[in-house]
Amino acid sequence: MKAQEAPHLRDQLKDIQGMLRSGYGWLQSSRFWLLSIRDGHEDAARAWLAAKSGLVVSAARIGKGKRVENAVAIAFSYAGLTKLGCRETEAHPFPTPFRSGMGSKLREQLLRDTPRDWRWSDVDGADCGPVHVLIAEWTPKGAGPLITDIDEKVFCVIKIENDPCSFHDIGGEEKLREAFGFRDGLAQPVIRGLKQDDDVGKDRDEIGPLYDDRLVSPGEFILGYRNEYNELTYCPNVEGWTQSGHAKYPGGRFALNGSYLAVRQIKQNVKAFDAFRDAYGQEVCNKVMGRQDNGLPLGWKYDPNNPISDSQADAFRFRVEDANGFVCPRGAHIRRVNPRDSLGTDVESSITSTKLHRLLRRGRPYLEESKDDTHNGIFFIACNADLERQFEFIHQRWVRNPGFGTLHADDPIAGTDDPTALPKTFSMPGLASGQEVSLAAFTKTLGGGYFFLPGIAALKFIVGLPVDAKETIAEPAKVAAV
Amino acid sequence: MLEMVRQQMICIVVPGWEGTTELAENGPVFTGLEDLLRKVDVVQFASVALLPARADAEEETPSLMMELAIEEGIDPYDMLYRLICHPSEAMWALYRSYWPDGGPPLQSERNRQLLDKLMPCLSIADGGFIGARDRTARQIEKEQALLQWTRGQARALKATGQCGDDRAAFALALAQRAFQNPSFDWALEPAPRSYWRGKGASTSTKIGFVVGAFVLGLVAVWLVGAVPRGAVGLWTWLFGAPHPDVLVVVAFISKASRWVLGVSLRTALVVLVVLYFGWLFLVALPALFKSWRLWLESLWRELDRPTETWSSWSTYWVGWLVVVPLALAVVAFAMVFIFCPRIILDAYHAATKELYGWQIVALVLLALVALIVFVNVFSKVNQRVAKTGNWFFHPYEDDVPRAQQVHASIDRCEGQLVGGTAHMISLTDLRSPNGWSAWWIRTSLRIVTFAGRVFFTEGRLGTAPGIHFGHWHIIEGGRRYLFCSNYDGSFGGYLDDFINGATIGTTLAWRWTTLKPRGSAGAGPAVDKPRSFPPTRFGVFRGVKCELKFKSYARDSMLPHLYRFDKCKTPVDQIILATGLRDALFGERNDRNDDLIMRAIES
Repeated sequence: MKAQEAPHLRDQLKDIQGMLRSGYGWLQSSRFWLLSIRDGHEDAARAWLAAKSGLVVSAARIGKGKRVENAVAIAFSYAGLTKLGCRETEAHPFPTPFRSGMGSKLREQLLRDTPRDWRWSDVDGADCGPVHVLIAEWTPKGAGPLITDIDEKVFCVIKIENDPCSFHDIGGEEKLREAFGFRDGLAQPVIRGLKQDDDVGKDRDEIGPLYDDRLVSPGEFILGYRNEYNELTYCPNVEGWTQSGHAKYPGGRFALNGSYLAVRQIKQNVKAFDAFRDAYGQEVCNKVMGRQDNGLPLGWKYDPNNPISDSQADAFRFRVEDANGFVCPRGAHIRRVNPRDSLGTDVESSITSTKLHRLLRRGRPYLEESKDDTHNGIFFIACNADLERQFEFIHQRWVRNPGFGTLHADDPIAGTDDPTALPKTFSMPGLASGQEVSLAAFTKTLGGGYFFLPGIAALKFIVGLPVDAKETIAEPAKVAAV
Repeated sequence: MLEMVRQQMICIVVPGWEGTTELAENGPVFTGLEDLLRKVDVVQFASVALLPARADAEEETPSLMMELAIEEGIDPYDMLYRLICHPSEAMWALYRSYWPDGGPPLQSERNRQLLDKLMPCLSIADGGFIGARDRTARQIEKEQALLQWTRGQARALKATGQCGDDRAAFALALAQRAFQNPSFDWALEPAPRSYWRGKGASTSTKIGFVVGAFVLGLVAVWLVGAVPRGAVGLWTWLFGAPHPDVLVVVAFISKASRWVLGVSLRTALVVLVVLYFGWLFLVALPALFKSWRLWLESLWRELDRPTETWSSWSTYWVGWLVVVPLALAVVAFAMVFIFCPRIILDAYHAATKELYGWQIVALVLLALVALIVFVNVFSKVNQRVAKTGNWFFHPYEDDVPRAQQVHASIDRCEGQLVGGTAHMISLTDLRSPNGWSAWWIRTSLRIVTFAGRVFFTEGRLGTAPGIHFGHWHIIEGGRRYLFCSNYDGSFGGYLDDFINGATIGTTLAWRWTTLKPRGSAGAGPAVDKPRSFPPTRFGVFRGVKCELKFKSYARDSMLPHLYRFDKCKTPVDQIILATGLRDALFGERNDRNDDLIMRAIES
């Protein structure tokens, strides 16, 4: 039988899009473009994307001591890949969830999204048809958009605009906050051999063995590497790739160095949350979220005014300190989406199991201002290598499952917005007789899709750049010394 | 005991299906079956599916399979009779296309013919596991009603603020309300549970059961020899010596009884010694010495590792070259000790007749030290070789084509059941030679069934949660292998639970199967290319740990259901919670029960 050799991650950084290595926290403005290619304009679309692919930043250009001044990532839905002429090979097609798309009726059932009232998706859309391309850009605070020349004859465009108020000064450092006022971007997994190398010494010194809880194999997020089962993650292939000469790794398939993005535009009902906060106070809001609004764990015993690192703020477990949810309720948002050591039969097996269901979050808050509606929200992006085992499992079994554990309601923040399921209840066992509060729908999903974030060589292949167009992508933006 | 479990999970596989029976939701057959299964009241799950014919089968038509998971203590043949002879004739509506001429006009005659057709096709599970569904559906429904009622009462009680912050007072108030509610009189009795999950759940009971059964067996064997001897003695005392032939027969029986007693006692001794050493090496030493624990963990990891690396390869071959011969030698020694102990005693005397006692002790100690040194040196060398080898050789693994693919019909079935209990039907082929594979599978399944019945009494198989009923059938004369499971969660998550939580049991249950090409039946998937179960090592290692291969294999073997019945759509965790709540509300007031009540009302 044909054997497959694993590439070394460190040798492939130039081919991996930078957003898999960093959330670009120092670039405080972000915009997302959802593009649908109009029929008959595929060539023009390909040419425009080829020009923009020069803005894409590779993982080799960021990391310890290296920062870029701006960055772009480009991803494609299955419909987009098809539209641009990519055909899967018979032997290595894309996984079924990606092919069927998050917007499909079937995924609506499987993700417990019923009923949906979406503006856009990767399968269809109210005006534009399916979204084919997702472009994300990150720029310094106050800077204008990088992408300015989208031809609306070629593309139908949905623009998700930056929320300028999403970064706040916390402990002398600008940190991301989502619209309800909570620190965001904490509790990210650390990719072994990639992100790990950036801060490993400092983080491990700070939190000791708990650091290993966050350490996840690269194959959980990047295609073609070892995952938590110690297997090479499945890599789909497309016709013509092997012969094209784009493959940087001998025998590497099209999807090598890529990832899948589960994307959802989530509107946050800030008024409803503020009303809830007024009624019950910040402490109850913290219980619902599962963290203090400044990012500290609910059970933080030390002086909250002393600044601590994100790594320290994430160094806790539930099973030993808080099995009954007296501190962090078992139904709280962060405990549902990352149960850490609490769901299995013991600490070790629970952490092993949880590591099979982690997501690398790269979303940002957004602000939508129009005549009819002004609202804040999160443009949620989760990178994962197995949509079914990671994003769909978390959404179906943990976030939207009313029978999660022994509870009887879904997630208090990201749960269903179905009016028939409201108002929801949420208990806080920390209070002696378990106080229960009534919740409104704090969030509503406006759209979503699955996208494939290709490796940089695969991106060049998709947009039709020749093999030798290395320079186009190699050094597009200035590198700033830190 | 195993029979009782197996009888709860049955499949009726009727070949030659050419029918066009419409099973659309809310169609007459669908509603008829739904109505029938609700009325008979003892069926917890049912499903109907088409099994595609084997590629080498004479008949190319599929088989119609009906799966039933029923309650404990009901004879499956009686169950089938009750279903067929029900006045609604729902079963006839389902199977009527087997009678192209419309069948006999008389209902009684139709029922008789249908019974005659289905009875030979009924297959009792060859093995199975029942999670929290050891309760009756009525018990589950009533306890769920109690759970919902309690949650409502708790909400109302909190609104009044009567109990303040006192958890014990709160729990007591809820218990009083439940106690005063006449509709919960049934809950005054402790929740009925099957023996091994109720009174027999403790370890001491299980050990006592085994020891008791063994001692009773020994007594019975002793009596077989002693009673004739006593009778001969009594006869001789009363009437003089009996006929010499009688004496010969009695002497033979007596000798046979003594031989069986001796063999039994020595077998028990061997088992105890093996258990002791198993405990010593796998439990005690890892607990005492970290190095031993790490070594053991690395050994399991290397044997389980789905990727072929230098270290896993060398561990595997050392296993073959050292461990297997050693194990065979131990087995041979045990056999000789059990059946011909004299050989060992003679050999021992011959070897030690020139030695004093202290010299023998010293030799034994020396051998132990040599063994420890050898294992240590080997371990160090292996680690060095592994390190060097892994640096030098790239690990590799086999390509898994068409991984992560799900047929549309399977996806549709999963989508339909996402809010209830999920369900899978898997059909594979037995590896050749079929008889050998079937024997191994049946043996493995009996072990899994026994373990599930007696040891995994918390509703988890190994540490895999969420299983309601899982059952395996060897069908079509030992050619094919059918697995049906009713479980909570998504299929991928279910397989992850098995890969991590019940590795050995799952590998044992599947490793003798293969997937041969077959056509599709109805809207279901076909198998275009053959697939093998992932490679295993020493029977139980690797196998399901090869995630991509195992999941592809399981996915490709799946078939969609045409019809599905679930008596009460309640997850395992909620079933267990509701039973605990019942016992807590109506039991004595203590911290544990108070805590359970408070936990049950959390949202």
